[in-house]
Amino acid sequence: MKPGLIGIFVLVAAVTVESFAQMLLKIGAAGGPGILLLPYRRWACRFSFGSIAASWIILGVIAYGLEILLYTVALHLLDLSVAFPLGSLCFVGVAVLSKLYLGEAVGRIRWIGVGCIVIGSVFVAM
Amino acid sequence: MHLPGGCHSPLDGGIRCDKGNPKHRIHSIHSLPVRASGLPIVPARSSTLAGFFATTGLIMGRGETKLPGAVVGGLVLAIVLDTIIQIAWKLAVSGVPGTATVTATVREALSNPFFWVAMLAFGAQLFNWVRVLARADLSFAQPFTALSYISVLAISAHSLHETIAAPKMLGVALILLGVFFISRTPFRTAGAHGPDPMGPDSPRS
Repeated sequence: MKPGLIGIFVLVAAVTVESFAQMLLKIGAAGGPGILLLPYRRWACRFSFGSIAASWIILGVIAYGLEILLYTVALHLLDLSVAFPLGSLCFVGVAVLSKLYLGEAVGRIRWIGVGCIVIGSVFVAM
Repeated sequence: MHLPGGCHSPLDGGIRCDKGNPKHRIHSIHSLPVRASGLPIVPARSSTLAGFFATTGLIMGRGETKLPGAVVGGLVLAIVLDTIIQIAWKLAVSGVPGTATVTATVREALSNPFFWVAMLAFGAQLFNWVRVLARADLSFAQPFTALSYISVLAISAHSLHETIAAPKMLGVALILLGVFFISRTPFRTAGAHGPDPMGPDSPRS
């Protein structure tokens, strides 16, 4: 496999991990899984640590550490003009997770905003 | 955009892991009345131009669109710290050849002082970011960090004595526009948040 292709895979993994890291931090910041929509809250509460807010923050930090590692590896395999816009897809990932799991109102305007940012990052990296 | 129901107490959805009690999720799409087709009946609130502008928050004056100072300060600090992290990180890894193995990269990073500057700023960022997220939607706050793309670009261009070319300027404009759109949406649309930083008497409903 070409380094570029591996780089893209690593970067997509980094973006996914970062999006989840943000959500984990949000859960911790909100005081626990009570912020999750009901089915996911039930799932989260199955874990013994589920009700402890700090444990979600720790999970978020661990995910962030993993993301930094993945992103650093990806930057060695990809040109910045590719890696940078792809990295900005974390804004899309966060919007999706916020809507799906946290029930935030990610409406048209937020999507337009996220779209502008992602397209903007393509040009910034040129 | 959903208007949060007026049923939030500071304890709702807090540390308590209640299995039932979905009442404070009333503004989520999952609790909307369901048609026979199985599709939720979504209030037709953005079908008109007025509705469109109302939902964007372009008509200001609602409680959730007025950003509290703590959120503004937190977001500004987040952008500053993010800029420091990115610049320090760039300086830390710039000496590593692209062909270096993962272990060599890690070893190189750990011995670089800029790496530790980045880590310090990262720790501060974590603390600050959790405070921001306790007050605002994740999908509201996180896009603001894109502003650090602009600050990093500006600092890089300045330190290298480069002018910012037209495509980059277009990118900067698009990011600013994107963040502007996000800022026009209500900053908090979901979740009662643990120990409510806005206090139990916050005008949420």
